[in-house]
Amino acid sequence: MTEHEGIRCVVYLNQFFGGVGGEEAAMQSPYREDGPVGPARLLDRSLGDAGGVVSTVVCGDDFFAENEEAALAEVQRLVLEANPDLVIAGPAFGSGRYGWACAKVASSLQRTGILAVTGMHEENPGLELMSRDLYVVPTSASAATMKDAIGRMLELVHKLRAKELIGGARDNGYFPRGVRKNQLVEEGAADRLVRQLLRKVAGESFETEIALPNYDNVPPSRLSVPLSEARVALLTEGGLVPTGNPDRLPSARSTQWFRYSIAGVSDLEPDAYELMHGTFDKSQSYGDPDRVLPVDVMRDLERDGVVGGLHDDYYVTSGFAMALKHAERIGREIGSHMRDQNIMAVIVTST
Amino acid sequence: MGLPSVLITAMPSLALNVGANRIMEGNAIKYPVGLSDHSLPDEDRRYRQNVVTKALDLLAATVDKQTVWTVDTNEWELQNP
Repeated sequence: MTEHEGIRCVVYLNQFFGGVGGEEAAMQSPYREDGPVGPARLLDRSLGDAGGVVSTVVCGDDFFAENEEAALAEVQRLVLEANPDLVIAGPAFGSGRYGWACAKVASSLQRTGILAVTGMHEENPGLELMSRDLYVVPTSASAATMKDAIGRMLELVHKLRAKELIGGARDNGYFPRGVRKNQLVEEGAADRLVRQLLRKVAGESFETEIALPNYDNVPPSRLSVPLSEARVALLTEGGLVPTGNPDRLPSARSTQWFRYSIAGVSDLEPDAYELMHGTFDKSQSYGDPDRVLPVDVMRDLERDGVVGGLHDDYYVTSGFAMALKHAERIGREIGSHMRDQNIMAVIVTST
Repeated sequence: MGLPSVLITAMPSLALNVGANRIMEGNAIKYPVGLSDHSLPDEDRRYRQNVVTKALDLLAATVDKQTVWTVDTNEWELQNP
């Protein structure tokens, strides 16, 4: 497949799939390589005679997240340099930061008039960026299904290029973009409504025609006492645990939370803690653990009377690739526990 | 009535999307209340003091909708719109 025939595809990958490294390489700044790298090679083969991957652009997930505007502009510039007809971002599967970056990259390029497609799991926070410019193919949460994901992304690409789409998003293998198309159906709305209600009442499955949004809106709570009288607790989803991880907090897809004592501790010692958050990174690159859980500063504020007190335990889980329903349950459980401890307010840190 | 909480994160836009009410912009993904890998310990602590103090102010403030603060947010402006 030469560069000058058929579909010119450029692929966007993160530091891991681009072969730079794991979490420790997440600050990789964007760069471009000729030809396919990593999973883009499979994509290139799968395109067959229809075209090929002429270039791969790589960017670290943390670099993208922390410099979003600049990173997106640079990634876009690099992608356009290779003169693509098609852009494939990811797929990101369950990775939240990667999914977010893929969604930004794909929709941005789609707006320049080039077909862009990405893929991710239905719980990926990247889907929060859904717009009419974003084509996202559903995938599992695990990169073990790469081959299947690429196959279905290309199926969508071919349909979109041939403008062969019959029915809605789900019929064509992508997440609904919120675009409403008028479709003439035989059965009127009143009949469809009653039919749906009868199915619901009978406990049968039914498909809603308009899906309500998922995330609930919790009204903000108020501090019931002055801050100087409030007992404040620290909670982190950064997976900060005593060295040795005594309760075996998983670094990803956790369903558990734990509490550890900081009674009498006014400064977290680097050797006493490690971080369970993501697959490969450990605490070494993080230095002072107070940079994730600000015990040192909270003790100062406690001593100075700014807060009534710092609770003697801190709460921890690992939010990395955490399933939404577990996050909700864990939040409720921790909240309930904190209530029993007369904790009045919480500082939550996120990595 | 729930527990008032403030989330310190380097990704405030994500926090907004999932419905957090009080959001304090932190510095970096890997160390939300740390300055940088190369800062001196006291510079780091000063930054941390700054952002945590601001976060506590946000915690104590009455908010009626999702609110994002950064270390530069002028509280006076916010409480007297």
